Amino acid sequence: MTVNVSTAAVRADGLSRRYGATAALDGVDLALERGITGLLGPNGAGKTTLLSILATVNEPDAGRVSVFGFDPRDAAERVEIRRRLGYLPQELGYHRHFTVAGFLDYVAILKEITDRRRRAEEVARVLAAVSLEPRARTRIRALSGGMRQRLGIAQALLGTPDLLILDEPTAGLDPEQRLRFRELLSELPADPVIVLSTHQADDIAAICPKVIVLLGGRVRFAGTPAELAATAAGQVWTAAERDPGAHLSWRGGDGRWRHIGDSPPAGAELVASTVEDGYLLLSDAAGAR
Amino acid sequence: MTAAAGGPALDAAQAAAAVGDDGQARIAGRPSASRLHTVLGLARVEATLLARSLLVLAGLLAGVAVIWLAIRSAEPLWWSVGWRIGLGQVLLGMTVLVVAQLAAGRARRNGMTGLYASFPTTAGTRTLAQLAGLVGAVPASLVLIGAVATVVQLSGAIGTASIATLAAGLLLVIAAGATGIAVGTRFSHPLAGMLAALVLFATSDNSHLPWAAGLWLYPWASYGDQLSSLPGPLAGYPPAGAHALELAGLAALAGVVSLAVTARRARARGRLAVAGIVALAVICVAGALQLRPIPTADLNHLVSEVTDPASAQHCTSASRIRYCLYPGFGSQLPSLEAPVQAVLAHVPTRPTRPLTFRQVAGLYLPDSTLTHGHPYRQVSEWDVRVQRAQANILGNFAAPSTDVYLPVGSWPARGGELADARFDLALAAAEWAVRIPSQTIASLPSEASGGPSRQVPLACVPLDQAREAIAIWLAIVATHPSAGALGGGDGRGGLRGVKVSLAEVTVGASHVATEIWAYPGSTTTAVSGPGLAPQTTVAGYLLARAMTSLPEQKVDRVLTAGWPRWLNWHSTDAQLAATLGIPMPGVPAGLSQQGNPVEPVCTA
Amino acid sequence: MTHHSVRRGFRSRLSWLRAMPLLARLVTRTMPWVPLITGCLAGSCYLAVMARIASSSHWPLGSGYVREAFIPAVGALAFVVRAPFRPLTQVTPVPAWVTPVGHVLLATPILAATCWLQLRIAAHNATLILGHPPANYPLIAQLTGWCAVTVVAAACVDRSRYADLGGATAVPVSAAAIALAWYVPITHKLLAEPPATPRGLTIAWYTVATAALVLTSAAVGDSWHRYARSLGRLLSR
Repeated sequence: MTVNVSTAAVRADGLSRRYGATAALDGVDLALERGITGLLGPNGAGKTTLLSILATVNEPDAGRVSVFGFDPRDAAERVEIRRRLGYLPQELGYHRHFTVAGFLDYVAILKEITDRRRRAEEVARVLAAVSLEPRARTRIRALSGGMRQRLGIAQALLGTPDLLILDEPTAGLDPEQRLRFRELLSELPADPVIVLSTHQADDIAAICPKVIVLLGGRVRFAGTPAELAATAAGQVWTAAERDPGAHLSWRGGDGRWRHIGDSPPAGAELVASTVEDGYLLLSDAAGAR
Repeated sequence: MTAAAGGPALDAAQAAAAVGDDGQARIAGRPSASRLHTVLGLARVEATLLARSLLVLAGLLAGVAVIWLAIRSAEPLWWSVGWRIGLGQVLLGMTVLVVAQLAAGRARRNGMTGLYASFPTTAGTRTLAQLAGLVGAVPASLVLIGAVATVVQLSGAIGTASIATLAAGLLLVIAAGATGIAVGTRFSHPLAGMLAALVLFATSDNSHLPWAAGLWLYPWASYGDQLSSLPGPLAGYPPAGAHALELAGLAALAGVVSLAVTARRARARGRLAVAGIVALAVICVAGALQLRPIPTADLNHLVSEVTDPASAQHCTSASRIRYCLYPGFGSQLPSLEAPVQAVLAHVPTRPTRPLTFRQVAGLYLPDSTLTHGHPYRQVSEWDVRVQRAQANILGNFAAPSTDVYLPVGSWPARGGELADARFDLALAAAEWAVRIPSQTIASLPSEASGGPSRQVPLACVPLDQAREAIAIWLAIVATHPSAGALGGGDGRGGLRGVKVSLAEVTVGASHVATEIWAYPGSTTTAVSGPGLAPQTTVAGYLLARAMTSLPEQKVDRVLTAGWPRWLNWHSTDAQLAATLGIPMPGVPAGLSQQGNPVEPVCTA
Repeated sequence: MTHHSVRRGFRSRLSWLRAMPLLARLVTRTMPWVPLITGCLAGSCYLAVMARIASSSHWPLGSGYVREAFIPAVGALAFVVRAPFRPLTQVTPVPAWVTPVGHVLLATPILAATCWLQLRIAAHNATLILGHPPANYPLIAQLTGWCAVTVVAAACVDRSRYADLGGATAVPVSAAAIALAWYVPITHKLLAEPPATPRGLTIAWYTVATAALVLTSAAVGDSWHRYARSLGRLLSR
């Protein structure tokens, strides 16, 4: 009999974390499956804190985390998680005097890829994946910001991780590189659990089948991008002038104003809502509370 | 159950295995690499970084330079040079310490602690790998040892290298690196490594100060030893084997401290505590071994070698010239014989009195680094014996020594100093050949009024004596010193660049202000004696230099024809110049001044 | 579409000076006090210990020990000359050199106090043993020269590809420069006593310090990249 199991590979229950008086996370529950989940939220929403807890770098003040059934509170199981983990932190310092290949080789050893041939193959594979093969012998200090970001992604891909945690992976990448990044994620072998945080709503829309919106340390939305966009359905309109009744207004490149609000005025030109619209509406609502 | 959109499909067996007790999905186990393989892989990277570090290379070059400066002119005695190599290892160790500290603090300094925390390789494993990676410093240390050993061997090394001493130098570098890692795991700021390196330097530089007996307990001792003046190796001085053990213990302790900083689990900390205690015990045992006094029998033997060198030395004789050297110094014989034989090749008749070139060793017994642990009475007794022997070397009133002394450790290995020493030796042989006395006993008035006059040995001056110019000429043609070594000179017969001092020479009842020539080697300690050794005048030097403009055979003929005449102290420089047919060089009159030393003229 | 007019007006080239009082507090806050004070204290403690040993053993503490004791302070100075966030500060109206120069100015009294303290320790020992304190002015000149050489090394390193390691690169570079000057015969005659006289030594080291500070002012300035490029072209010819 064929059974499909749809159980969460990564689960967090009631996660809380405080930094002094600030609650970075406040009772966060989430369940991540195989595939890409986008984590959307403004600065200070707790995205980096959440990701660092999932990556076993930080510990929550309260709540439980389970990654592939392993509890990171147990030392041995924590190591097991890390064997299956690829992590790109938001601020990744570099050993600037290392070469690109040298740095990846070093990280590969840290990921316990000790066989020399396999390590060389892995390094070549991830370099190809991020299109950095011509720069293999270049010192990191000579790389541009975008190349360093790609290098950060490459080190996360070493060892074909089952859990890939990417904090702002598209920061510093040009549009073509972001497109390549999306292709890269979609082509990853072994269908890992991928969670990435970003400010770019169009990345979410293009890559992520599932999106979680984190606001003020709490999960405000968990669902598909289409569902997120639908939360703003009928509440987005454009006009030639600014509407003071709208919650959010901004002028587009065509000179017309785009508005998001509870009640569009009569005769307003309604437009299809996007993921960004849904996120902004949620964000605004959370800010108003 | 139906397939959830986007979820994977598994068969029943896999599904049962894939779900844990808590209902959480589990995935297939990952093969974990052995910790050893991870450590070895990381250690290779760290060792390569260390070996290729520019700072380590700079330390190696600085170490070689320092050792070169220390030994370039010194006699190549292995029991001294082997320890001097350690000075270079200190400098290399300082740079290895700094580089290791930078490596250990790398993650924190570059803001990568978060990333490193997400790896399965723990901080303890990384630290262990860095400690193992210290083998990257071994090639530099071996290059240092090899380079110096090659130079020393090519210089005609005396004695054999002590493996324990050389190994101790290598272990010093490893211990310094381990200390750097220990510092770096706690303090990532580069200044911390530099301060630790300065502590290493300061303790080595000042090791002799607080407690002489504890000299060898510091990482390395730069001062306070008499190794270069010993006539042979002395067991336990330095206690190289025990010192190597101490350094190994220090390296282990530093490694334990590094791991303890990064260890998290109680069991690991427990094991490290045990290892730390063992390392401390090794250090204490090694320290105790180093503090043991040198056996009385060994010091007795050393004192005998110094006070009665004839009993310990091998003498070779040829044609009334004797060379008495301590065992092991036989390889120096050709270097000593060459200038002497070259002098004697121009001497028609040798004196009947034999000439002995004898090695002597200086020793300072109250030095606690040598005699700690021995009763004061015993040390005083030794000291009295040594001082008496040294007084004999300096000058015995009753029987002036006729030996030429070669202090151990003073015969240079190469360069200008060797040329000067060879000239000095040749001049001593030449003065013996022309019968210039080694000293004169002078009568001086008593210090107490009305008391008897005092008999005092004084260096004499062969003022206006042809035999002096002949002796200097013999030394010049035997060793061919450069114009610069002879005292500069301007090549035009003048006095520019010639080093002079002034003396008042007693001639009868009057004093003659005389310019004394500082010949090559006169200010060094390579050759001493015979006796107080006569002074050489500028006039004699200028005449000798003028003689070198003549063909050697012509001078030989003139000297041979009237050899007894020229040995007479009444024969003057002017007579010699006239016989040779050369103008007598003009010498400016000396300026009589108060404070010039008063010296008698050499007679007989 | 409305057009926004560009703000016009003339500002004095030195208008950034008005920001100095506000910057003073920030420069003080960003100053690496801990390494500097640690270095100064470490050397002074070492000298105090050595003076104690020397006094009890009745031998004079030579100027070599004072030099040794000042090395940690000089090393710490290498970490002071740093322009943080240079890619950002290079494009602000306030020049990028303000912060590193401010740090050096703040470090100067600390170093002077350290030098004074160490000379006092040495003088106390010398008076006890020799009956008179030694002449300090050549030594002060030498230490000033060392500091200036370290400052220029740090300033040059801060403008090079090795800026991330900062003092860790500058200290060995300045140590090598000072050691070379000490041992190379031509400079040894001027910078070491003997053979130089105390007066000659003082003049020589103050000359070195002045030259180093001139080079520092070039290294921290905006035009450094031009000099570096010219030097690079000259060397590649």
